[in-house]
Parts: sequence; C-alpha cells; structure tokens
Amino acid sequence: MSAVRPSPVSDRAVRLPAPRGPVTEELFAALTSRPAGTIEVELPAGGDPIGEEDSQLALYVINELHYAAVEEVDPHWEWAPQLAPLRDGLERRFERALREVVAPTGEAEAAAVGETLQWLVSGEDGPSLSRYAETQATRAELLEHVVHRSAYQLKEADPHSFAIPRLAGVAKAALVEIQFDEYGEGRAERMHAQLFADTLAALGLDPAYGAYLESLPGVTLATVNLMSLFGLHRRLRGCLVGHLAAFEMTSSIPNRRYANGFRRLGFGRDVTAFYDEHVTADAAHESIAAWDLADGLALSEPDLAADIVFGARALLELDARWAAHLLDCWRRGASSLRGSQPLP
Amino acid sequence: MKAPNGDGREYDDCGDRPGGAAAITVYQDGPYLIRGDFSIHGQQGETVPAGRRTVALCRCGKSRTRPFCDGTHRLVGFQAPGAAEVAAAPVRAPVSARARPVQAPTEDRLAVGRAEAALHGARALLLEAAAALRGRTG
Repeated sequence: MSAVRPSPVSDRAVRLPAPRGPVTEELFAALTSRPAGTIEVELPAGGDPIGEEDSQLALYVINELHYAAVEEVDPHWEWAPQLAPLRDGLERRFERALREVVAPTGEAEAAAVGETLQWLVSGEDGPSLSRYAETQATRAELLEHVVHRSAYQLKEADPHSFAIPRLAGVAKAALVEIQFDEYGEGRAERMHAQLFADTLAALGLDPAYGAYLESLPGVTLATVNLMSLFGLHRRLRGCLVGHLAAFEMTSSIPNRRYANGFRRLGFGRDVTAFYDEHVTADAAHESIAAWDLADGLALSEPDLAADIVFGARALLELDARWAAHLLDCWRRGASSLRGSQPLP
Repeated sequence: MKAPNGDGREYDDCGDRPGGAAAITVYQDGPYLIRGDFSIHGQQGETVPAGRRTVALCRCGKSRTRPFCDGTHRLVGFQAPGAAEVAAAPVRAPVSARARPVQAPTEDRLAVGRAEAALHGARALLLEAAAALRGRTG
C-alpha cells in the first residue's frame, strides 16, 4: 500500500539535536536562552574541521536559523551579535580546511571556466556510490542514502538562491532560470524539495523537515554547510556558482542509477519520481550552469574564475568523502548513520 | 514589440506567452536547449509534454529518454561546438587535452594529449579524403 502523498510542506521547524562536543554544548545552552553574552567556547586547534561532528553540527544549526524555525530557540538569534564570534571562528576554520584539502591551483583561465568545469567533472576516480546503488545496494542501504540526502534535499535549491541578490546580469538570469525550475515553476507540489518529501513518505520514512538531523554524521552535514557558506557570503559568490555548476553536472547520471536501484528492488513511481525528474531537469540545468552561469560570470568578473573552479572542486571533494563514508560503512556491514534510530 | 536587453539580445514583449518565440541554443559538447513558446510532438501528432519551461533535447543520440537529454552525452564523450559547425574544420582534441588543467600537466598527461590530438588530426584527414572520393564518384 503506497503512503498518502503529503500536502506541500508550508513551514519548517527543526528540533534541536543532542550536542556532540563542547562547542555544541555551549552553543545549544546559549541558543535556548535569550541572546545575552557572547558564547565563550574554544575551538579545537588543528584536527579535521570538515569531518568533525561537533563543529559541523554547530555550523549546521547556526545556518538552520536562516532556513527554518529551530524549536526552543528565539528567532532573534539569527542575527544576534553574540553569535557572530563563534560563527566567524567556525566558518574561518572550515574555509581554511577546505582551501587546504582542495589544493591551490594558481590562476584559473577566465576564458576557459566552462571547459575547465567539464574537465573536472569528467574524471571518475573513486568507487561509484551511484553504481553501487544501481546494482547492489540493499533496501536498508538505499533508505540510509535517502536519509542522508534529506539534509539538503528538503531545502533543495535554497542555499544557491542566496546568491541571486549577489549576482547581476547574465549570471543572475541564468541562476534564476535554474532555480525557477527547481522550485516547480511556481507550483508547490512540483518543487523538488516536495518531490523528495514525497519519496520519503512513499518509503515509509518521515518526510518532516529536519526529522533525521540527529542521525546525520558530520561528513553529511559538511556537504550542506559548504553550500550555506558559499551562499551566505557575497565574497564567495564565485564559489557558489562553481558549486552549483558541478552539482548540476554530476546529477543526471547518478540520479538515473539511484532510480534504477529502487526499481531493481521493486519500488514504484511514487519513490522514483524525484530521481527521474532530476535526470531530465538537471540535464538542462547543467548546460545553463556550466556555460550561461559559470562561464558567463567568469567573463563578466574574471577575478572570480579561480573561486568558481575552487567551488566546483570543493563540492567534488566533500561529495567524495561523503560517498566514501557510506561505502566504507556498508562494506563493514555497519550503518552509515549515527545512533540507533531504526529505519522502517 | 521587440526591445533590446542590456546584453544586446532582443526579447518579445510577450504578454501571456511564456518567453516569446521559440529559441534553440546549442551547448558545447551537450544538448539543444529550447526556450520560449514551443511544443513537442511525436510523428503521429501526439503531444510530448515538455515538463518544464526550458527543455534540453538530445543532441548526441544516446539518451535513454529521447527526445530529452539525460546526460548520457557525458558518458559517451560527445563532442560538438556550442555554435554552428564549420564543414571540414579540424576535429578538436578532447576536453582533457584542450581545457587548461587545474594543475600543471605532467609530462605523461602532455604526451597523452599530444597523441590524442595527432589521432584526431589523422581522423580529420581521413574524413576529408573520404569526402573528396565521394565528390569524384558522386
């Protein structure tokens, strides 16, 4: 029996998850009071900010204040000056780590950004998560995959939308063209975030925004924090554009594989519609993103060319780390999610 | 009434039509994108729903969702310019040799790029010769 299709989601509220270390301990304690004094907590020196549970959860919740209501948290915290030093520290540490692991490449040729992006996404170095999903993944593994993706897909396109007011001209028009499609061309039931909620419901999972935040590891949260970082800082608009281009360019083929994987296991259109839609939608989006948006931005603002390429490479790096985490856990017969919240 | 836009292109004052007259754009190594007022039909006349305002149609011929693009062009290494093709122009070397690499190319990569370019040059010569033969016998 297929689940009842939920009505389009019209509000978002996230439950504050359990802290994962000293940063989230201090942060969540402060957030559940009214903004008063600065949040005093020392960030770790060194370590791996990209994979760190405590830092990534802290950033994710701070960013959520821009996307959703966070239960027990006064909405004034979104712009409270008391939050700024901690947020700044977390973001600087994250960005520094990203620029270290995505090694500097020198000047990117502004006239060849589109071609550079094509070249970047054409390399398939590591084991393919989507191929595994298509041919071998178990039902439990595919459900875990969906839970991981809920971190982003239930707010699909929102992080990139932050860049719209930060761009102008041809690049702005190209981004809006993509986003208009992402948001169902103005129809709530066709918004991609809604299609994903429909998939969750059809699988017997909870389609509510933020329902699985407690289960999501730092490596997953980092993939979303990356987008929020790029979208919420005008100086990083080049990175955001490169991120979106690479994201769209690495979407159609994997989404076809995920759909095939679900079909292999006997699931129907109520589950696969989200993936099938993305095969066709992103086949169009990737050309707009690579050429009109990214190449167009590089031509009008050549100084951003290096950031466009960096943004694309950062996506590929964090995506690879996330995929490696899932495949590694499944190889060991372990869950890739945190805690013991059972999936149906 | 057409009006110039800041980027020099002209746009219809389209009233309630989605985007004015249909415009087809070819994208480098990728699909045709159709924008504006268009409809898609099978050869029996049946409507093929476009599904969205801007549609990508398969140019490489290998999509599994034809007439729509599904990204397969990337898997088959489809190459075509993002402009009108000039007959008998030299075939471009593959993207991996042409695009400026993010890191300085190693000697191995340069050697592969040069070999690939030579192969494609040879292929272009063969195509020219075949065309010339057809011209003599046709």
